Amino acid sequence: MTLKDKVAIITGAKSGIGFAAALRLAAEGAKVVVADVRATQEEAQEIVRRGGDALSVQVDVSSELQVSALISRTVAAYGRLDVLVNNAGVELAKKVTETSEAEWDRLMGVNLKGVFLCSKAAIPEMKRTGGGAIVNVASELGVVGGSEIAAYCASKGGVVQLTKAMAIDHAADGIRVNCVCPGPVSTPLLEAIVAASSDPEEERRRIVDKTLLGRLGQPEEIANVVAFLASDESSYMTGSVVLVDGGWTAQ
Amino acid sequence: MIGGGLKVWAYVFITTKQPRKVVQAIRKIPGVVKADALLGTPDAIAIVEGDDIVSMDAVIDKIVEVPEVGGTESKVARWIE
Repeated sequence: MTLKDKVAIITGAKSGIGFAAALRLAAEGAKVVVADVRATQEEAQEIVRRGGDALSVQVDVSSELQVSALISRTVAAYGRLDVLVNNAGVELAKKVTETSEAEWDRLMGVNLKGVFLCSKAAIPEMKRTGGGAIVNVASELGVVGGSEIAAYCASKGGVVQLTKAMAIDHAADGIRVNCVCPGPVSTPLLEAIVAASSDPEEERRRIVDKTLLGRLGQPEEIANVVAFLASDESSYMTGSVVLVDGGWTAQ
Repeated sequence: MIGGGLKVWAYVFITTKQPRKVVQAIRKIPGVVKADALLGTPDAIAIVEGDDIVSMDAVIDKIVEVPEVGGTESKVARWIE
């Protein structure tokens, strides 16, 4: 991989796929900004302990001011920005009829507006240094529907389309924009959904049975693809939607 | 690098019908580095700082809460060496 000395922001990087991606990009030589609404210094410390270079920044991706401060702080610390991984996301296991306006707005604010705001702030910095790579983390539920998870499906479908639109608009700027759609991955986000169901064991079995591989994915299996899309190894890819879902959508 | 050790600044442009009262009030808010009334529009400006992004944003929230403040527009400085 060719991420040596690249500067990368990963949102939602405190845990799950985001943290796995931060570790992987750092292992490939990138300087990593761990951005998360719950970020502490622990995440960056762990990366530094493993020999990488990292900065932890607490930020709410649904706030334009905070996002612009994130980009400013990144450039102040490392001088440039090459990679943005838009990973921050929240779930809501509800039908439309059960979803409040406030819940809808909060979910859209993080999952979709967050991608918009971070990309909007990052693109000028990437252009300044000749280009970059944006990797959006959507979901298999951005491509197919799911039961009782309506707002989340809508937000991830939006991320898939925003990926394509930004790829078109910024190819000439040297910026590639791609999207990873993970299937069910063993993360705190998924575990919360399972735990909240009336029969967690049955819910877990129902989810696993929808995959061809018969198991949950591991965060590292998504991070592998994020790192590939962030690196020059994927130099002929832009506007792509890459399903990493254990075969969920093949059926 | 871990924490970076860099403060974060923002410029807060304020509209108000009572600039003197607003400026005197917001100068007392911890995190407000400088506040002045302006000739013309907007009516006042404040420079705020925080040890991190969230605490800087919290300072702006305190400015917004001042009763005589009509509206605000906040901008973070773009980093230029």
